[in-house]
Amino acid sequence: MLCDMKTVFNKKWLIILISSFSIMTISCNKYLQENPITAYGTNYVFGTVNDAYKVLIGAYSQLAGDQGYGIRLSMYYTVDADDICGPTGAGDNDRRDIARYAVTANDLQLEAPFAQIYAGIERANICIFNIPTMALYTSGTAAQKAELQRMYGEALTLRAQFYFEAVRNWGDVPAQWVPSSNEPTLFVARTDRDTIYNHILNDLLTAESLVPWRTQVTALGDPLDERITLGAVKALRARIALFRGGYSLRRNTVTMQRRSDYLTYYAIAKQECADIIAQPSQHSLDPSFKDLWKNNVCAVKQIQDPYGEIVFQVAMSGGNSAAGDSKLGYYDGPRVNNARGNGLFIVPTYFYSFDRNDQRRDVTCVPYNVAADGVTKIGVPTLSMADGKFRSDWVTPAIPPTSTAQYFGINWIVIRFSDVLLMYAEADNEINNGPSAAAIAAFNQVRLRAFGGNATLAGTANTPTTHDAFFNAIVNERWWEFGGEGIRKYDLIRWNLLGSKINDAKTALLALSKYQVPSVSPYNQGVPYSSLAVSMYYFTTAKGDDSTIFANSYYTPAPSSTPSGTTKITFLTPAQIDPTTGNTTYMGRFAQFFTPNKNELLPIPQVTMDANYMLVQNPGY
Amino acid sequence: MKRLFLFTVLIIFCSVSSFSQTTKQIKGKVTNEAGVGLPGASVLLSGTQKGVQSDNDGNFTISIPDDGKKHTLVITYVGYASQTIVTDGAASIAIKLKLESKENEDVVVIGYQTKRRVDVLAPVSSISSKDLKDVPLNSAEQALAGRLAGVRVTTSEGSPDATVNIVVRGGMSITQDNSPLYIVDGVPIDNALASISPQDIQSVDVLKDASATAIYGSRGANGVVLITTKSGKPGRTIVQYNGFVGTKKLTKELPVLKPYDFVEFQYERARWGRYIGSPNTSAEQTFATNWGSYWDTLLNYKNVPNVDWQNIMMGQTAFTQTHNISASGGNASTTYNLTLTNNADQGIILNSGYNRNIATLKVDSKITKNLKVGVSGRYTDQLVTGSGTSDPGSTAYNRLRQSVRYKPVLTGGETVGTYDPAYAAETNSSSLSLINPVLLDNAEFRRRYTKVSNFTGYVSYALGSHFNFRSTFGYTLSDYKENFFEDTITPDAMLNGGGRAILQITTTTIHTTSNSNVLSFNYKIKNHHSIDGVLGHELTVLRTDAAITRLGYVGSIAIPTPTNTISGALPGTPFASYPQYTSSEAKRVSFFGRINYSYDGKYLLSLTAREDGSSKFAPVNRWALFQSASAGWRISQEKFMRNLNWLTDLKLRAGYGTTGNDRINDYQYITTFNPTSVYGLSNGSTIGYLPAGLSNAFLKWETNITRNVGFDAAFLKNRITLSLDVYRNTAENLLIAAPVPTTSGYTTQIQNIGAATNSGVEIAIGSTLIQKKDFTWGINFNIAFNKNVIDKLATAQNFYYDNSGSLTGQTADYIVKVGQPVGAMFGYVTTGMYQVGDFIPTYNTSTGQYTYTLRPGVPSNASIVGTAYPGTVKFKDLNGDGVVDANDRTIIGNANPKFTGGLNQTFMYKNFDASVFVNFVYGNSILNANKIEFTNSFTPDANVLSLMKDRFRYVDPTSGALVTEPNALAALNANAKIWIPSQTTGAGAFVLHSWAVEDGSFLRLNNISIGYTVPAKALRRYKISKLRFYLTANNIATATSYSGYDPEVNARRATPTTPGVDYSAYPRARTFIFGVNLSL
Repeated sequence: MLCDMKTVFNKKWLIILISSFSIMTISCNKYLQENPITAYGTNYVFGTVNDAYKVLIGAYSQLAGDQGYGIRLSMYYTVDADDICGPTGAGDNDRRDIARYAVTANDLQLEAPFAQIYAGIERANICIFNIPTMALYTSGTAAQKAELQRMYGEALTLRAQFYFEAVRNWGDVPAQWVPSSNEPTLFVARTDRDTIYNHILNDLLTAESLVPWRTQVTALGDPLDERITLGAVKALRARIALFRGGYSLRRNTVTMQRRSDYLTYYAIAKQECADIIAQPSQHSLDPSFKDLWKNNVCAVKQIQDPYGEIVFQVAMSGGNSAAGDSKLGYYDGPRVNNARGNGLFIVPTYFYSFDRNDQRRDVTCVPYNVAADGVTKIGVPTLSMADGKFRSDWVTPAIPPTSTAQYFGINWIVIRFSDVLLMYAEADNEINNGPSAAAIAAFNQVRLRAFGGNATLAGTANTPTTHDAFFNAIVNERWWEFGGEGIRKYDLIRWNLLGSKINDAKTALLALSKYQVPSVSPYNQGVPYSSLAVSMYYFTTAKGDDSTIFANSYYTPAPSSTPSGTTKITFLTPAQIDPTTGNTTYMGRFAQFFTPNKNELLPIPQVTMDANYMLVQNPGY
Repeated sequence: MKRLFLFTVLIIFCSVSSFSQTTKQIKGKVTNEAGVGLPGASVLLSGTQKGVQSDNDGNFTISIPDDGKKHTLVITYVGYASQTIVTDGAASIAIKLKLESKENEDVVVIGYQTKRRVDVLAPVSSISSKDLKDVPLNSAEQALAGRLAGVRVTTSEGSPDATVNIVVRGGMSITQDNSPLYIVDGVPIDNALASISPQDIQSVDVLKDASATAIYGSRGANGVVLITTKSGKPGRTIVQYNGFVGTKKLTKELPVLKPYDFVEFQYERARWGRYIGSPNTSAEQTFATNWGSYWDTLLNYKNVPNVDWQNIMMGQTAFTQTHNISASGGNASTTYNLTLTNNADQGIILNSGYNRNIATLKVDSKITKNLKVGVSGRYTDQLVTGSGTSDPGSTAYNRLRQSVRYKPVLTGGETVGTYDPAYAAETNSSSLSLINPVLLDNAEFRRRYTKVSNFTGYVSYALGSHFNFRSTFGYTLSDYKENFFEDTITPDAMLNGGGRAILQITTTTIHTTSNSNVLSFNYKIKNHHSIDGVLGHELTVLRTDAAITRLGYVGSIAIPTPTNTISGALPGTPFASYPQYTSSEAKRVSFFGRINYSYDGKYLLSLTAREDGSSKFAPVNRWALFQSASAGWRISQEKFMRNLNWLTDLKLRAGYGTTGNDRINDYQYITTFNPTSVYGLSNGSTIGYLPAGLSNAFLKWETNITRNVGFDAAFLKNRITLSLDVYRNTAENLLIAAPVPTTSGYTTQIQNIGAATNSGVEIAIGSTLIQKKDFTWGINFNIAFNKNVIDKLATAQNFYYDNSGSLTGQTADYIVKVGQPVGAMFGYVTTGMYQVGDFIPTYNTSTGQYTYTLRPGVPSNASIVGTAYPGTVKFKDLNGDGVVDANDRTIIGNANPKFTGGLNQTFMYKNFDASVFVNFVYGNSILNANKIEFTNSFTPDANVLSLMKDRFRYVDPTSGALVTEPNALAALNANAKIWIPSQTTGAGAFVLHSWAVEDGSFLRLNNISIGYTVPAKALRRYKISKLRFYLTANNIATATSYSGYDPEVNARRATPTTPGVDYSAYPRARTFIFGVNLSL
């Protein structure tokens, strides 16, 4: 047969074929090596300062957008508390259930924000893992090294912020400190929150030596923008220290507990705050509370307010949708032309708790909706009063009232200097079992600004000097100072006051609906509800953005006849009382299903539970 | 290559040039053995390009040189053995052609080789141009539906350019692409059937099992579809025209509430607050403002004209036409075929249309006795206009809802094109926002251009009589471009454009290059042993470049004037992170061989091996070896069987083999970053790097093992044929986008985990029931049963949920679970609605109404769809814990049919021919997401399906009075058939429950065709050799219990694990066609 083959098949052909085959085999593996064309490999992106910066931007970007502080983390998870209440209704397996404390692990608003927080951690981990090992980090020019150090510190701070957000919502969570591609397993069990807090407190300490102060960034050649500076690192470290030293719901005991060494952490907070307070050229209060919000936050012109009151903020890019923008001013704030708003509401008793001269009331609470012309204001009753720090009608250039846009580029404010002052006062009071003069001064600084610098109205001479009274004063002052900033609920949890403050608000709401004097503090210290104006008259041509739109006072009974040029509204609706429960309509929609020792934490999203057999659910879910 | 082209052109010119010599005429008649004339037989004067075709009676006249020499005529006719006649001076000759035995004629293309069907050991399903001619569709893919056993063809929706899914034997991969490999004339071409005109196809062979596909190695895992295009035949130039014109019409509408019922429903809806004891005065005021405050005045809506938006949007009688012209011919050494095709198709939806032009040229030439070359080129130019109804994105971008839900009544001087911004705002909940559908359709201006150029060439050289070397080269350039302009009123502009109009331009270019070099041999040893086979290698390179630009316009475009042109400099500004560019390249290198052995044509054995390398894996995992073995026994050739007259042929076959799969994105084994992240520093948009995904350095080939046993039989001289195959295919190391814990920072990672099995039976029967001189009746029937089971998922993972994404915010609606098939629908079990008796009524003296609290022991749905009241939807408490919650979900449907198949019948009576084709699918579920959404009432003033007319009511339809008293409420609803449309917004509005999972079985009278061939006598003086007219109706009737537009639907294709969803699909039309086949 072989012989036959030779005759029919020229030897030459066979040799050519066989040799060409073998040449090809050898060169094949090389031939099959493909490298990314438009994507970039790890070595490439950590090859230059500029590319490393882009990876860091990728980590920053996880703060923003619908699943970050654009709406979920800022406006879904932070309510209901005794300042702000979420949208009406319940039983939607969605944001209303979170607000009403009826949330389940299957709630649809849990998984994506949880995942985004961890995407942020992963991206920060990639930076933390790679930046310090870049050749330029040790052998670059001084400028390159300084830039890379800043970026390394920012990455550590971002990771701390992401972990902090995860822990304050979910308690013990899985923790990874290196990129996932370097982890031997992705099925990670929950790490105790104290361990995570200690880790990020240490990270932040490291970051303090790497990140410059606010006014020093220009020396690096960086613009003054929303990137993290030393003030943010220190303020965040103070905030986390207070949470580490505060109460939280423990899984093993299913009770709210604080660790016995909590004062160690109050000391950290005090020191960090003192460091910032000692740098008034970096951070101080804007003399006008309204100016801060109206012109520096909402107007979207100013990146950094001139006083540096905004210590840490999340940058939102105007009009850039779900991934990188915020719905601040669209989801919350007053309605405009019957659209926008209706996402968050002022708890009516919170509105009345403000001192009548407190300038924060008319910034925090919006008594109007905007008419179709975009300028004229329409008075609204207490039941539908929106929160007001993020208002679309304050955005410049003005958004047309007919616009269907949902993203206005309003930044989310994470930490303000007034928070630093009040954290200082609080920490000092705990450490010394009573406030020092410095603590009282810090407290008074916040209060004085709220009353336009008028010490008499602010009552700063009467600031309490004993531990308990000063602590209570801080609890209230933080309530008034930070309403609608997503701070109250978590403050109440770390003080273990969430349940009692919800009950107090409900008691006050019931009294309000009956025009009676509430029995609980601080609601019983202001004007008795019996003397309030049930009706309000707003000027038909009102253009103002505060209580000046009304012809009469909130605090005295209204005139019975309608003043000319005004329109009457029933401002304080005598809410219908449910005969079986005794609840008012409003109480039915305020923190309705809060269960102590359960709702201080959110359930781990079911999708995450299903994907990781190592996880155990939070108590009660 | 240039030289080859010139050469080709030369050949064509030669073939059409004519002679000038003295000639004489010879007449003749070509008949079959029974003496019946054979029309269209080719008569060729040997050694020349001269040839004629016989007329309808078999007569022909040919001129031959009158030089006194003898000349040879070659007479060929399909299905008959060709004959050579030497002219002996006689002026008239009679030629009787003998039927070629069927086994000789019927050849099948199997990987790099053609084989006689009787020698093929693998299950192959084939259809020929004859089968395709009766289906004058513009999509060759659609023409395959139901005709091939074990090949399930599903058209995703009814749009002219709808995606067609072809799945062979259930498909192996769980999350990756399951489409088969397409080989056109020996060259792999992605998505080939979309760029080839059905009129240009000679045959389609589908290889279903590794015994045939292993030779294609990595790419054959999901079956191989081999397409052979038409070539010219030696003889005179034949010019053919095939054309048809027709109309298309929507078959069915989804009935919705008419004006009065709609307004009455809105009236009741506004009083929901009163019914549940918490009056909603603003809703009642809004109703009064919109529709009137008094019950009496509402009766006026009985006389208001109904605006049927579905009819306005989709009720057009659409015109469709196709023209295909070809010129083919050649001489003994060179043949060619040139075709031009135009398909123009108006969609039934406003603004939607389709236009495609295809030009092909195919030339084969025998240069010397041993050397053959062939080249072919094809250019496809396609334009699809209109935005249609479906969108792979979320609910907000799907448009059917606009036609179904928009108010059926126009008020205050509105016309069918009026924009009502207040209405859009009022209905803006759960991403709805109703916009006049006509206006929206104009405001969403979309054009999709496809240009595909393909070049294929081969050189084949015979090395002696036993060896042949063939080198094939293929290059395809596909250009896709989509221009999409969305005016200010569109959902995208509202949600993402900040109210600005958006222009999006997407371009994708794909270059595919392939080369194969194959040595084939055949050898006979003595008379018993015969060996043949191939040895070869192949290279493929796939390069993809894509660019996407998104611009936001400011200001200049005004509502409601849509802009219908996109040209010139654009006043827009690019969105952050746009334009985006992506490029990637993948390469494969393969070496393969096959040996076939046959002993006396009785015992057959075939072995194949293929070594594949893919650039998608790290060097250590790059190569894999795939192999197969199959054996056959032609029992009918045995002596002891020879006496059975009724048995023509019987062959037993068995095969076992492996194939692989590397269909994952490029560069998955290394960590990469894309510049697509944005952070809004300083009110700008700083671009950042985004990790492309969680890389997996250990990725390797997915392996599939196929096992097949079957037989082919023919009885009564091939009057009846029967094939039966039983198979069991298993896949291991499945490449799955496995969910990883999100605490890793990612949601999925491509991993080699999991295993799955497909097992099934396929039967194909063909028969010529009647074969008389004037009448024949043939039938072809096929049926296939397939069962898909997932055997294994990731470590410690028994299941994961998946979301079809059809309804915004919906919880998972599918489950991927071990022991279950891919396509298991997951949700609650509907048990009707809560009855009055389920509640404790409480009388409220201040309002004079009753309120209701659920009786202890009656499970509550509260956490899913809101608090229960009499008349609200009720789900089953499966675990009996007294509450209906996420733990009460279960598998409520399976998208996989139990069996599928088709029955085709063909008739010939004298000059008439007819065919009737029926196809069927049985036992699959459809997730009718439309039904969930269109029976909901999450916003006021949105219409609902008319089945909600029989809802549970709390407003007396005669008096308009609110009814809450228990006995009266029960009496009012004694005949209520369905629950109160839910007003829950967000996720609660879109909960999947078993009511929306419907039986998708259907029996479709798919095609009826009647043709008439004009007798040749009548045509002779017009020099027409064949003329046939036909009438065809497509999608004539469908027997199904499915309530949606059409049970053949697969709207959510982005996630392969969620098949069988009907959501916002473009409805399918019925088509009537008149056509003509003309041959000169």
